[in-house]
Amino acid sequence: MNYRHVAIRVLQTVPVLFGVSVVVFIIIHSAPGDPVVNLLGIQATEENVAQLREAYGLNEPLYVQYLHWISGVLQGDLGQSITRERSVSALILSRLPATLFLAVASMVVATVIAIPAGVVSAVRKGSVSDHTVTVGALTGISVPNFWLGLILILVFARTFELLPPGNYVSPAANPVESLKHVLLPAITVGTAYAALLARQTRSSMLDNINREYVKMAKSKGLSSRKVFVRHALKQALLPVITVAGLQFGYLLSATVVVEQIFAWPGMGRLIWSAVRQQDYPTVQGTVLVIAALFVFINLLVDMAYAYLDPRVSVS
Amino acid sequence: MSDHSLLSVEGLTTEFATQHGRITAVKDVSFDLEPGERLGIVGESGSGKSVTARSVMGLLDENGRVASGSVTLGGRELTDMSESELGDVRGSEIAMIFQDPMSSLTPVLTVGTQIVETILEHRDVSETDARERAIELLDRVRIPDPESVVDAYPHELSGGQRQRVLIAIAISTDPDILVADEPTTALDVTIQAQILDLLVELVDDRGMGLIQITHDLGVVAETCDNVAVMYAGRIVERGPVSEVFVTPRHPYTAGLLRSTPRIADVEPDLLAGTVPDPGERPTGCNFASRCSHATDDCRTGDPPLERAGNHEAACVRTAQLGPLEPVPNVQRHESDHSASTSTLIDSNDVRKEFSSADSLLDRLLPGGDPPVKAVDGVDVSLAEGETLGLVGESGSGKTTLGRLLLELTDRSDGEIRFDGRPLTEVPEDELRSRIQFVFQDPNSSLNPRQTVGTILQYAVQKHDEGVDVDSRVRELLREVGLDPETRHDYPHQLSGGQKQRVGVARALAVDPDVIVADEPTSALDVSVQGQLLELLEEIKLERGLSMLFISHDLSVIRHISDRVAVMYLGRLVEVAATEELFESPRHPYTEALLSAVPDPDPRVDSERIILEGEIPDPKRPPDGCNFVTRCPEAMPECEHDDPKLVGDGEDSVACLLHNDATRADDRRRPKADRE
Amino acid sequence: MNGESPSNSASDTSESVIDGTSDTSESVIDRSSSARVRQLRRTWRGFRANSLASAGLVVVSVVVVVGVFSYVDEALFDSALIKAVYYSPFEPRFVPLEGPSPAHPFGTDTLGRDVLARTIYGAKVSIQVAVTAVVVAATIGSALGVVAGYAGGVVETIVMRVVDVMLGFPALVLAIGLVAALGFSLTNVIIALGIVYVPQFARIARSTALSVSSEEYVDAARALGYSTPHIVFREVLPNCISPLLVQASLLMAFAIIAEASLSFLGLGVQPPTPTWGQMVSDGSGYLTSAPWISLFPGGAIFVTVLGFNLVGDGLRDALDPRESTERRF
Repeated sequence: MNYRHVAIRVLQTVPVLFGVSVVVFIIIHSAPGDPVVNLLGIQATEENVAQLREAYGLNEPLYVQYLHWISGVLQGDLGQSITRERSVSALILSRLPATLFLAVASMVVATVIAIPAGVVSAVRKGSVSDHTVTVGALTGISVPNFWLGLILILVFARTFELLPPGNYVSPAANPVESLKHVLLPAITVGTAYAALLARQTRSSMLDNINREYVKMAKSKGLSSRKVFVRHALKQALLPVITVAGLQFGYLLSATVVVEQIFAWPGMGRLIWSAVRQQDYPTVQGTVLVIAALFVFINLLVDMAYAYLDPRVSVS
Repeated sequence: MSDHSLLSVEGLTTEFATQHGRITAVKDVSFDLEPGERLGIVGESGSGKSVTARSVMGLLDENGRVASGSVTLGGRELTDMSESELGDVRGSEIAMIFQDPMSSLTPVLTVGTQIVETILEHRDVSETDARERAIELLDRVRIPDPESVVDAYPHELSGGQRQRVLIAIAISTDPDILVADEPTTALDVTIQAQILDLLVELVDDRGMGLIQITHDLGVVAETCDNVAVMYAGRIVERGPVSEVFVTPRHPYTAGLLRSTPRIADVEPDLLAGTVPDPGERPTGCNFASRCSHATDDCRTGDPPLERAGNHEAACVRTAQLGPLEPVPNVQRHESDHSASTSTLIDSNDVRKEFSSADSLLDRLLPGGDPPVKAVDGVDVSLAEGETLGLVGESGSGKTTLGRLLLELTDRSDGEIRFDGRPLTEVPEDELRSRIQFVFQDPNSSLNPRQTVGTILQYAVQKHDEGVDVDSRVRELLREVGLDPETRHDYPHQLSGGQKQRVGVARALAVDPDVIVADEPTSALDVSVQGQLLELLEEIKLERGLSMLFISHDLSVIRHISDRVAVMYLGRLVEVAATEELFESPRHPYTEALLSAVPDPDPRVDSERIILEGEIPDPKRPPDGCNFVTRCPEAMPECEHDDPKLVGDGEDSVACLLHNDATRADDRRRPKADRE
Repeated sequence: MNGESPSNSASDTSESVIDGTSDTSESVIDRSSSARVRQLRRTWRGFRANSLASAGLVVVSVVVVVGVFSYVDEALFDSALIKAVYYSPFEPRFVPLEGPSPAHPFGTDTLGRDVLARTIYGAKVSIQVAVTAVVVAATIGSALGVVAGYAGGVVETIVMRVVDVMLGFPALVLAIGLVAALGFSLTNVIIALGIVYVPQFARIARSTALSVSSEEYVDAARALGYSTPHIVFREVLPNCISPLLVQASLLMAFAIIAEASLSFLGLGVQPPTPTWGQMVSDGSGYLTSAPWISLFPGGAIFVTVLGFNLVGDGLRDALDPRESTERRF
């Protein structure tokens, strides 16, 4: 791996993170109406409003407010929740593990199914298994996850009572129980992700099977299995890794919705309730953290890519 | 056919399933290969030569299949074998070298892995032994420092080195037969000379049979004993090279030989028309429509390959025609261009550097790659009415230089004068209507979403809004030898040669004084290439144009230029009148370049100068003379003194053998002087 | 910001045995009909040959027609049309929580409204949001991307850094943040999704424009001194359309799911306007007793999204030059 590339790539995320923070700040501060009036209700006296504006620093110019906020953020202080008696950082810390657990579980479930399915589909192009995978993947990207989640609950939790309908159990507390509980939500979140990965695996595998170097490997007398595994698969998985990273954003998006259905106490529910209650500091903090997490995951994916692909110097 | 042949191909017919039904790419092809024999299979694109090779190897694409015929290797039938049985034969008894070294090695595996796995597949040795053997093989194919290259990834090697690796893989298990599919087409001429030399040496050394698939008659003449000439899916002539290329019996072979531009002092004799597409082959002889000797008999049945003199030809009129002449007897008309006309373009110390950094960060962080000096201080001039040939290998900067003259690329330093004024003072509109470019790639040079008519219409209107556009477009198409009705077609409906003609018409639409043609023929087959060159020459003479003709192909340059500039690693090394340069090259690089071109005449026994090593990385050119790393005549002072291009009269050369002037003398002059 | 796979750049230079067989043969046969029509017809034929894509097109057309009908009916006739042939989607006139029956094929909801009538009206918001947001995003994003790709330099740097930042957000999270700030309404959902999808188009448009700009015909246009608008709009843009079209139809599918997700969360278009996502959410509390309330509108989302995905895949297969060369041989 080229260390210069790593350094450049790491440094490149700094302006992106800065931009992300600016966008979050602007979005929240572009909300119509006076946040203080919103907070205090219409009965608020002018004096009260003025006091609170002063307290929240809302009389300062916007960039000063931003600097104030971002310097807090850099020290781990995301401000105070308006509706709850806790700091936003504390709220996020209490919710992050559940979301990460769900996202990782979904990713594992999805990857384990999708990549072999994509490979089989490409290698046996036109066969029954190929059609099954293709149709399955198409269904997977088309099904709305909240609907799928409800169907899974209806079938597996209510009708047959095979699995619990969600409800987070910490993997540290009870690993077995925790896995049982995460299964349905993970399938719900992971379905579309798996479908995307399977489609990408299939198409990049097909692309590679027809390459000159695969023919070259065949001409050396290698067995078909060796040709596919060594010469086509490793190369074919590189774009899959990129897609897996980019679509991690999809996973994070999906958890917001799916956490509602499975009563999952994660970031998604936190955002949702904060938005409903117009708790702007919490919305601002959670959106920022999720975006930062996504940027960080993409950085990791790029590093993995650079490690696996000997050709990457500076992309 | 003899029973003891190593490889025997009988009546091979290969078909491909397409959306237009089944298409026969190769029909009824037969040949034998004896141990140690070197057989060339030569043909233009669409002739089926590559399909033949891949049919033998059992490596056809999914939609292809051997419809009939047999391929026997040592008495065993290959076409009936299962994939796993073929696996035992491929690599161990018959090995293949692919055309494109850039895409034939798996990018994510090291060179060593790719050699070792071949050995382990076929030989019962330990992994350590196999690795030892891999290093020996790399050494055998003359890769410097094989101990470290064995752990390198393909992208870390140059094209020539990758081709050597492919050869090392092919010979790793001592196969009886080597099938080389255009092994040097993607390489530069000096590298091609190295590889061909190596290939012949290896084959002779080990007594292997070689099947050399190529479009290049010179490669066959230099490397093969026997040749099979293919045309439109069939073998039309077969026999020893010394016979077929000297006394060809099939009109196509003769036509091909006569139309090939040669270094030798003869004018090519063009072959009209194009190869019919595999779906459109006529009944009777496939060549009949292009053959000047064709009669009605030719259009009734496929002529079989029959004995003709000491070899075989597939032509019904062999007996009447007798041996044909392979070399045109037209003497080259030497250019009547006089050197006295005025200079139109004049460049002074022009430079272009390309930064390899792609972001600000990349530029700021230490340890990045230095910029590529694509053009490194070039003085060149183009006189009114002359054709200057600019020749160089890949990476020499010849294309960049051409683009700099049109300001398609901004120059980093130096000055270009057009018509006596600096380029910066020439109004944009004037520049754009006086210099035009003809591009290299027929598939990229025309907008696929515009009809030929629209493409030309824009150009015509740009130049002259008042003109009757439609009649002007038709006139232009006629001028470049196309049917005016072509204007309704989209580019994908045209052949490569037709597309290039449209490209020429577009350049002519603004009525320019200068045309810069960048490898306009390199993507075309020999016969079509000749037709386009002839067109360019005619137009040039008729319109009194000046032309800068950029090419890597010396025979093409020889054919079209009045004066030739030779470029190496961003610099001009020699500029001279064409005849002068080809008869008595002065720079060692020019000399080597000329001797590296394979000649299709087997009687010419040229003494080749084979340059060692690779073209240096233009990011890190050597100190002193750029050519010092490969120069057979390098002297100690060449290591640090950088020769300057100095001329006596029309001819100039940048070499310390010929004069002492160095570029350093130049730099001592105040900068203002140069600007 | 994402590592683009270098493997795609390796070109296949092996001798292709038959070049352009299909095209040249055709041109000889009928020069009479204009070439452009022929080209369109070829794309259309490729598309139609794919029976799945045709099925997708049928689904999409039906949903669009239903959506337009609901829009016209509500805006101009105060739901008189649907009432004339069926029931009102708004009036709670029936027994609540009644299962599917001939009278109410999709059953009734918690308030006693007909689920089928509401599902028909739900198409309106889905189509309106998806089409408007994607068309707006496609227009702005493609323009930005093409200009950035062709112009390079500072313009490109600025556009692409902003795009990088926007793509730093998971799409739905950004959309939620935007509607949180803008408020929950039809227009705001459209604006939010439009903003979210701009960078998606800009990125694809830029990389396409970048590769198109390196084609020789763009150099030829510069050598001929054509104006920058001519080069961008006549030479570069038309050659970027195919991937953008494919992206647009695939993003329509995503936009429908995103709108439904927002509605499901109660962060989208508010009642009484029926939306599919909201209907699924309404029924989620009655999953065992009255599953039809959620299942039918959810099924409508699924089928519509499937339709757009099939059309997108079909378009890609019909337009992708690589695929077509593969088919040719």
